[in-house]
Amino acid sequence: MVLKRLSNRFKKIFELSLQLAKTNFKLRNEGSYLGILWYLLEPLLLFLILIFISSSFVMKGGPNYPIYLLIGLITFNFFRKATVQSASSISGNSEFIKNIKIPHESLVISRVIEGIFSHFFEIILLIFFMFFYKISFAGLIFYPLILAFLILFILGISFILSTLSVYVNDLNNVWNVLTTLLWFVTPIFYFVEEGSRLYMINLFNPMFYFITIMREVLIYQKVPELWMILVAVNFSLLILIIGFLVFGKYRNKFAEML
Amino acid sequence: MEYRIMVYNVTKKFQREYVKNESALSRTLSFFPLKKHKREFEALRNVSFSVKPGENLGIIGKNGSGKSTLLKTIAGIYECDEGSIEIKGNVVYLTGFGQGLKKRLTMRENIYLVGSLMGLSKNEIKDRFDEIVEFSELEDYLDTKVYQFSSGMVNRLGFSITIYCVSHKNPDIILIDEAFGGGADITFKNKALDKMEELIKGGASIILVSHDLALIKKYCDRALWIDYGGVAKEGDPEEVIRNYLKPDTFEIISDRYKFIYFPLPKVACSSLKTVFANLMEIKPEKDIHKTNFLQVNRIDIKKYPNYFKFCFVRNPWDRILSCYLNKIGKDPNVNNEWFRNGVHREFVRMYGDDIFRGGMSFEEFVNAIGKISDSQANEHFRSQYISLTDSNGNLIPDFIGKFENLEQDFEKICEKINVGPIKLPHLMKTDHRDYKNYYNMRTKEIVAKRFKEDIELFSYKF
Repeated sequence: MVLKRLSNRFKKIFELSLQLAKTNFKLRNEGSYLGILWYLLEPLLLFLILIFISSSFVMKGGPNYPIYLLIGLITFNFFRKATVQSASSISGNSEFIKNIKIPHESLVISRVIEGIFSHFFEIILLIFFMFFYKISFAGLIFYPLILAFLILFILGISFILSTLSVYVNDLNNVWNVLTTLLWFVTPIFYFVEEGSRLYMINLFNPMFYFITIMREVLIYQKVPELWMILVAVNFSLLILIIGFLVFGKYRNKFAEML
Repeated sequence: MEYRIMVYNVTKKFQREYVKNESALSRTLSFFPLKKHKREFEALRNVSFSVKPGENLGIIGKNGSGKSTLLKTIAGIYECDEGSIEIKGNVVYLTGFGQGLKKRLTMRENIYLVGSLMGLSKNEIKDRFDEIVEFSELEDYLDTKVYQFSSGMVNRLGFSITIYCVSHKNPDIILIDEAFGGGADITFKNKALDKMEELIKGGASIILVSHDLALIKKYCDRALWIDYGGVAKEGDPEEVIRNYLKPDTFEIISDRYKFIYFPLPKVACSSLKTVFANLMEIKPEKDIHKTNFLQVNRIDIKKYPNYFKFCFVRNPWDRILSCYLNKIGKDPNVNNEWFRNGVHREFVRMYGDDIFRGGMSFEEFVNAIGKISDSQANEHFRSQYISLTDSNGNLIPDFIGKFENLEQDFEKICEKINVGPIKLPHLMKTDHRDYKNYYNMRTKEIVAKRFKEDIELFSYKF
């Protein structure tokens, strides 16, 4: 009985989130000639520039470097875009929160879903290049599972950020700087040697685990090391729980703080 | 007793000095500096009432009196700080129609969007879709983007979606905040009002917040008047509205004795009211100022040329001192029915916590009073002439008694209105030493300047 009500509530929240995400997605692309191409332009451009640069410098790239790079780029891009968007999901929707009784979670979740939509196009780009560079598609079977944990992680971060942004108004700027920093710390366009100082730093970087696991699975069709999987899963669940707790604690204050 | 909503002693506070949305930098910096006093503003104070199943309750009050806050607290959008709210059944909160409508989407998309914002599932909206479209009479525009609609059409759409979603949810309680019928052309407006009426009479309990008093009278079984966050009056809508419409200074009239009395606070007004209540055989309330006297509006006074009009005035220096002793507690920690942090609640409600503080010195008090103009002043320290003059500045009363000469002047009045000599009970007796002891040169001057008109008009000296 309780379980049924709970699942009903989840279903309601999810349905509303999906509806909001679709609406926003539609609104964002409405009237633009290039449409979805905009979603690809940024990662694609960055990809081509970095390929060009790496061809001029000596990098231990090897034949798989382009895919190595692309996986890093699009995965991080997904993380960055979704979290930046959802950071303002509560503070930017004050009239909803003040005037309609809707589950606040769905405002946050809808932004993450929107991020998933646009990430979808990046995945298509990835598949295209995998085909181009003749890499086996076998690893793709496990991709959704890894993505699922990444999404949980992003959801957790989003809940924390959206709560914070109610109290701190320029959180978006702070977060932009932080993610840029993280972009350089994470081995996206370079490799890290095991045991190096940068590697040690990256052991505390959740995105490092997600991206490394994806590369192992997609490029080399290898089962990643167990401890890496465990750390990634732990990160995503831990952050998600923290996110829920923080959001749950402050959600009732949103209406009067905005 | 059976009820749908039980609001019990609800208090809601807002942080007043809280700078909302501070930037990260200033947040970090503000960790260091001195203790910041959190100032709170009581938007609702000890509000209690209940609503029975099927009952319609109207809420009236001035702007900013706390009506919307109350409704939002019941709806669960705000949390209450003290007290409790019990609700039996599902609640729909209605402010305006078509919340969340997006101009860049088509009408069809908007119906699904607003529907899901109102908590309906996709299938539920599908079931209601045709009815919504039919009611809005906008069948031809289903795939037109809403920014091309006229504002009347947008209103129609918003109203249709909202009303059908609400009735689909079949709520037990509907909270309506200033939302009644959409602003569209006459035919649609009538249709909308009919639909609204259908909703209201459909058996759900309604709380209706509105400035449209006719609406309250028409649909509500009971009314609640909220003033400064508290319940000022509750009961029969007609009676509550009558009280609500009274100006804050009103004159007491007696047809039997043919007099009009202008009560001025802090000028023996409790004593005189008690006497007149006895005289007119009106049951005095525990709080004498809430007694239901027959009252007359200032504007209507000229309709009673033969009535004897009188009032009492008091030496401004003395009056301000009395006001200070009466409204400001010595102990800033006194909190009770009348005082909040040592300041009379009436003052707190009007001026917040900044201007008057419990335990403030008389000099500080006089300084504060000196800065509040008559238009902003509470009646306890408003210039007395204001309540006694007409729009041309002429004094209305035929007789102006002096507080300093209360007994003799009251005897004259008794003679004039043909009642035998009555002994005045002196309620609220302020026993303080001669007011002169409280003043110094500066405070004396401030009062002299602030109440210049009173001093001249009623020829008072320090």
